[in-house]
Amino acid sequence: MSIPLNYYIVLSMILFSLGIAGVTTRRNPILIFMSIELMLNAVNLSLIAFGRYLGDAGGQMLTIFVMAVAAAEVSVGLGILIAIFRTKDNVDVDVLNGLKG
Amino acid sequence: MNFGDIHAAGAPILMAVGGCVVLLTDLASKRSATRKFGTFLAILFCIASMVCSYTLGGQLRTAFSNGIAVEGLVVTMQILLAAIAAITIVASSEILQSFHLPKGEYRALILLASAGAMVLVQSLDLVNAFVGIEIMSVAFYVLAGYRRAQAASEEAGAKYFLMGAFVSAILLFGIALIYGSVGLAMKANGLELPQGYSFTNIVTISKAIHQVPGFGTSPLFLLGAVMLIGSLMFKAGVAPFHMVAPDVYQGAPAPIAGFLATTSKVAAFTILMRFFTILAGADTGAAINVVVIGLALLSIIVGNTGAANQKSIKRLFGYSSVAHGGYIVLGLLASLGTESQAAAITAVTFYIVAYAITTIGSFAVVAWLGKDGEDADAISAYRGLGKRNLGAAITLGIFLLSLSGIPLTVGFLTKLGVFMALLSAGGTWVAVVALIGSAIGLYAYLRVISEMFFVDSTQQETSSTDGASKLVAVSAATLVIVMGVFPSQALLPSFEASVTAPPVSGDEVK
Amino acid sequence: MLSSYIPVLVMVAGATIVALALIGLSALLGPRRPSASKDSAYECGVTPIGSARERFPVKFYLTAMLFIVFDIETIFLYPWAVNYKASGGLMFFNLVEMLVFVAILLVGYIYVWKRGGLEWG
Repeated sequence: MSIPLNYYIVLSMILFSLGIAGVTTRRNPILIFMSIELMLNAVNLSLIAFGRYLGDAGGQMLTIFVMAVAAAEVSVGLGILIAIFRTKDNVDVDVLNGLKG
Repeated sequence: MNFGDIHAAGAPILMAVGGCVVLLTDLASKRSATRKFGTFLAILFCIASMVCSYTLGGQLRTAFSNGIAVEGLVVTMQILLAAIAAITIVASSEILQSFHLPKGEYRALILLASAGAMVLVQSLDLVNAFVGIEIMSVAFYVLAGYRRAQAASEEAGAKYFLMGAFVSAILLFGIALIYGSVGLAMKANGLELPQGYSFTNIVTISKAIHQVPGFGTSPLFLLGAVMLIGSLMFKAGVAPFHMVAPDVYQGAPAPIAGFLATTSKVAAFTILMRFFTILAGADTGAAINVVVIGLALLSIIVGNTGAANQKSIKRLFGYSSVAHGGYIVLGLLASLGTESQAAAITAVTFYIVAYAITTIGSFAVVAWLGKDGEDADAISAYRGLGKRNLGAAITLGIFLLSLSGIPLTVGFLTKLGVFMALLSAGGTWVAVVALIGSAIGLYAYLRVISEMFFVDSTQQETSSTDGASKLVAVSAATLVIVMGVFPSQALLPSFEASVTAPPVSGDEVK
Repeated sequence: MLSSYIPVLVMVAGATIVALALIGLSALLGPRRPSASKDSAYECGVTPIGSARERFPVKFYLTAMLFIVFDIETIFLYPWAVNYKASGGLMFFNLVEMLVFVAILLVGYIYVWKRGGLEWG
């Protein structure tokens, strides 16, 4: 009387792939970052599903670490984007074209 | 949990505490006299961290519920990481001064990034590895974009951040898949979780690989392992995610670029070495071998051809770091064979140490020849340098020769070690392709040398004031030659003695 | 197994059909007499001034950043609090461990405060 583990894993893989698709097609760094968050949350889903299935708390613990780390990454990322916004008044990845060769 | 545990994790703890202390003292002080005190304090913590690592000695000890394991290899790498941090802090006083960048934060970030790298180096549990790699990477993103007013530095930071966060997610999915596949396999085969170990522990993974038939080739595990290996290699700047490395090294100020290039490689390759020791001799099909060979050869070829016609020297070093990442991966590949494993681990360790010294030195030359803190980035700025500033030209020449692997420099010995290990592992054609790549690389490095010595230039020499970078560059060049001429006498034995195989062969599990 | 989800499926299908039917019926049967005031975004109340899709000052991001960091870190307090009583002989050590964690957060807080991150404008 429960949803099989495979369903969670497949759902998590689908979400993860959607995240990858978002990262590779979007031009706005904020949207790219949202896609990365989607990938991280897909991982969280599979971690919790595995942990529940195995009766092991390790998966949940790792999920908490992932959330904390993601928060730190968001802050640093937004900080960098704000700095770019202040000099360029635009944050699309297309303007990040100064370094080439 | 006892004092021994804290001692084992002492090196990263000291670095992290040092980061906080430096940050707070900088906040409390306003005068420039106390700014010098900040540098002193930061270096003090680096030295304390080195001493703490050294007192651990070479024997294996695990701590924090088997979350970390320290032995000779880890001690060597921790000392190296602390030394890199200290040198970077000394060498970047000039750029911080010229651009009026905040200094306390800079030192704190360097110390915290090193703390993260050390956590990564000593982690036995993949959860610790993840936390360590994130502490390191998040500090890296900020450091890459540290020169805020300059567009190139900002751009480097943003690119590094977006790519790095993306790869972190892939790394994490790899860990999740390994966690799940190990747990499922052990449950299905009625194996007990080793007492005191978690499912994400490398020891547990080793047990699953060596005791569950067919586990090494199960798709869930292979997918997870490939994601883990691939993303760790990105963190070390290996192709195909290499596009970021040259951008970041060109955009970031030279001392920071040197720090990023070396610390990331030391940390990521050490944990990869540990992960590869459990794959050694295991039946994992061909998948992992194919991926590793592919990544290594791609990096060597892309790195060396990309370096060939560069106009920017920092970009050249960026591509060179991609290529050298490829050679180190070749060494890791050799460590997958049970017979060549010991030689391969020694070769890789030696390669990492030598690469760190050479790279720190090369970026120090770029900072040394710069004007007003602005790096001497364009290769045309080096035209005729042999006439204007012979010392600098010779120093840079030594580094370039070492990077290309000419005898009498340390770069030759390291490449030799990797190729020997590879040949004894049976990878002859791989070694041949890698040699062709080196030949292409030789052209790139010799081009800069000929610009320096055989082309005349009317440029005026400007007297540099960056004494710290000069000191770092010259001492690194001396080390490169000394280690290249007296390999066995000077340094190799101590490495061989200090590298003991990590405790993960699977049979040692109680 | 999955058959227990059939009532949910029926419920979703029923809700969708009813909603679509009602919208369709009102579109078919209702009289249509548009006027300027009916077309406005709010049929009564204050007329909106300008678009709501404006750019926010970048300051909001800074505040959001700080909020996220300090908010999410408290997530570690929950598992710690739940397991604290069960830790038995390690109680004192666990308390110290959490105090160290909070002290690290405090360092960050002091830093933000001193650097003026909490000031608006």
